[in-house]
Amino acid sequence: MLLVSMLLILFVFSLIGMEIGWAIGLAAFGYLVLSQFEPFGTPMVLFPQMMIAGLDSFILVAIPLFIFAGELMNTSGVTHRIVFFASALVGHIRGGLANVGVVANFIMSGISGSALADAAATGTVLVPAMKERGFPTAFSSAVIASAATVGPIIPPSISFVLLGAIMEISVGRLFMGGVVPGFIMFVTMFALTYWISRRNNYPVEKKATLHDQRVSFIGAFLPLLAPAFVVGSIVGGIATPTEAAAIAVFFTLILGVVVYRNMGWRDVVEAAGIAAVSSSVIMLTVATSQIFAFLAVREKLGEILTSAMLAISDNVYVLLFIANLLMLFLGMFMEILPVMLILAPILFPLFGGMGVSDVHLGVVMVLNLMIGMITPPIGLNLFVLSAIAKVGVIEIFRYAVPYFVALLAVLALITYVPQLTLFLADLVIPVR
Amino acid sequence: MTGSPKPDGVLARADILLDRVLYYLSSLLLMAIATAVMYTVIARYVFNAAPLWAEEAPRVFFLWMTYLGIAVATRRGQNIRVTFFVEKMRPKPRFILDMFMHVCVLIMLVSLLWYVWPLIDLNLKGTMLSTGWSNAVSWFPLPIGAALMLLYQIRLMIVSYHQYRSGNYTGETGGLNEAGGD
Repeated sequence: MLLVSMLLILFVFSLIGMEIGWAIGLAAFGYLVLSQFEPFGTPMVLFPQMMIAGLDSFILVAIPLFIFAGELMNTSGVTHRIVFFASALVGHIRGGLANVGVVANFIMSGISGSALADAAATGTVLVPAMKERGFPTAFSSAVIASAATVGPIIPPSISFVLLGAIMEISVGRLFMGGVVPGFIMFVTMFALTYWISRRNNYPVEKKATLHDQRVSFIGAFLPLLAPAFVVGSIVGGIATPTEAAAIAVFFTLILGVVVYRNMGWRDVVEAAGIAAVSSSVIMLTVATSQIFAFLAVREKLGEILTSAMLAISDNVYVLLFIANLLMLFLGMFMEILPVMLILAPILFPLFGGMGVSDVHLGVVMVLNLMIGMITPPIGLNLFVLSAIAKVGVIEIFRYAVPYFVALLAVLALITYVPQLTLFLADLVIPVR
Repeated sequence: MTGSPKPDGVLARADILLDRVLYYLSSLLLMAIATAVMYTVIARYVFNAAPLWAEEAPRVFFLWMTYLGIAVATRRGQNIRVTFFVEKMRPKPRFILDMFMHVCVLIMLVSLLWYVWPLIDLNLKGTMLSTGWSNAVSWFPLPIGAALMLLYQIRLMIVSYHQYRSGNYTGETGGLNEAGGD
């Protein structure tokens, strides 16, 4: 009864527009209040206790630092440099700027680690330019929204840091696990964009001269090194993920203040303020989701879900299929962080017991939730692009359907061929 | 910012000043975290001696930054929310629904403030291992953040009420709507 009330409060309040973090908190709070009417009620003090204990973790400190590094990258004009480089690289191939959008997002994914940040940064630059070239605006938005889903799969990734912190999985292994799936996503979306553009005869850009290619490469060279610094320092055992995030901050700081000289200290303070506030919003969701997940596990939601799934089949492949369906469904209606934070403590023990690697399941989970970012009604990437392009969400989704189907195919591949995820993780950071 | 008080009154000026102080404090704390963590890396590889406070201090700063930042986000309407369905509602039911949600959050915040004190009391007695700071330093961000959020929720309700009375209630409190997250 308590569990049903908690789930009901969560769904109703998040759908009627309460801030997601508070909707989850209210569901947990409702549980605690209602439990006081039972013989052994859960102590109310659990609520404030977990609001602090749930965030008191060194690895979570990496998240505002990665967001700060992303903000500094934007302020120092790195997005334009990357778009210019991608344009020189693939602008002449059929699809022109649409291909540029896919490539630019792939490169950005190695720097920022957030799908929303990538969608906003590349969308702002490319959507108006694509409109000028004659692309349908909804198609331009769909390409950018879909291409940005690769952000949290390719390292560094805020989602992987969170998952690593909550489930105590090696963040380095999760980062490595995302590389091949991220590359497959990129190749699939690039090929799809090319095919759609050929069918619709979308425009191409003039082939860049060797000089232009060289100039654009030199312009983007230092930002292109950022992922190597970040991932290399973690994989090489030089730094923890949090320290690697701080290295990323100072690397971008040096780029903006010393190398490009287009950023003053006022910009740095402003970027830190924006990053602090936006990561705080994420942390509210993280804190309340942990209380919710704790209560859900206590109320045996995991066992209920497990028995329901096992009643259908005890075959691990069928169960993975059901888990994918569940995550895709929830990803359509909820913001991805709470889905991940609430489902992880339930799904990881179930699949761990069946021999599924935590890194494999982690990548499958994040990929699922990324697909949720381009599906209505609550696809955040669609909303961001809708705001930039001033086109309706459903109109954008209509053009994003082929990408949605392609990403589902990638999801199936990643789910049923675990070696694609584990090969690099085991090679670079073997399990001790 | 939609519905903000006119900046000529004392209260309105105090409102803006508090917002700026909290915003720049959050910014300062994040820069302090970045510097402390970077210093740790340098100290470990260059001076061959990582400072003892390397993990503890950034964690405390992070908690302070988070709860001050959430207060700023509440003031600026930057929290993550889904407005897809409520946008289709007429102003009156939407206003009632929004007010109901504000009251729910208010009750939750008051409860947080009430139940956090025993925890602070308990932690006042202990100190952290490496910094020697009181354990309560990690707990104070919650009541301070909750009190600020309480203040801003009330402010939000007043602004919404004035918007509704003047016939231009949109449910927008300024800032982002469906943004945030990952």
